Amino acid sequence: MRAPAFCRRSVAGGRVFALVLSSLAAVALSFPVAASAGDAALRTTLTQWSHRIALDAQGIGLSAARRHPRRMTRRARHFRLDALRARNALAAVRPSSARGRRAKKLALAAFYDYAIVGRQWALSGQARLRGLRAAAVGHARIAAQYARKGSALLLAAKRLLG
Amino acid sequence: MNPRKLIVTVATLALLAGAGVAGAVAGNSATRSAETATTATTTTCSDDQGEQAENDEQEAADEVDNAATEVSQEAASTQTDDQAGDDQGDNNQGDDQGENQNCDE
Repeated sequence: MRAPAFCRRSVAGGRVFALVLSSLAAVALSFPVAASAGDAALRTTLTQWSHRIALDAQGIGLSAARRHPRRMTRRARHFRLDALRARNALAAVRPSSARGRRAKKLALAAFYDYAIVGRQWALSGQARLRGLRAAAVGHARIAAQYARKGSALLLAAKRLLG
Repeated sequence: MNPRKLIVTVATLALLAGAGVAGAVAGNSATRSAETATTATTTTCSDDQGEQAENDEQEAADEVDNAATEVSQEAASTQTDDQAGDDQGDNNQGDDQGENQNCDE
């Protein structure tokens, strides 16, 4: 009578052990995948918005080269809005590693600088339309300074994400 | 602890862990599909630009720097503006003449 009861207990114990082991394995497997997912999302968001900013900037450069200040001003406002949208999109992403968090900070700072660049380009275009050449040059100079800083931050963020 | 309760608890934990793995994998798949979508959009938007730059961040930095140079030169220029072309752009005509390369405009 005692032997079958012992067997049942040992079989039940074995099942419990197998269940515990499999669940622990599942938990252990889920951690690395989840960790890479956060940084991958950050990388994707950064790439998408960088591409859009590049297209915006290309249009602004062409408008400026063709001496179309009104169009340039409109595009500069759009550039600024895209830079701010990029910041919002990046702020919503949660990086999963220390490098990712550092990259996010750099990218946010880069797009903040690009928003300033867009504002200064718009002011430069407006000044140009009003015939205020000195003001137009001044705003363009400030924009160029922030553009250099923003670009350096963006590339640093990209390097961190690999 | 009652073995049945233990089994139920462990099974629940295993299901939660499985859901976590599925969620993480789905997140990765979503980002990959987003990357693919970006590439597809890029190809559509910039067919006239030849090869798409592999490095979007570098491309953005270069374009912003180039634009900054162009705007500075234009601001300092004493040449009169192309009033006719600028007005044409305001009326939304001529934006498809090569200048507008943004798909969303």
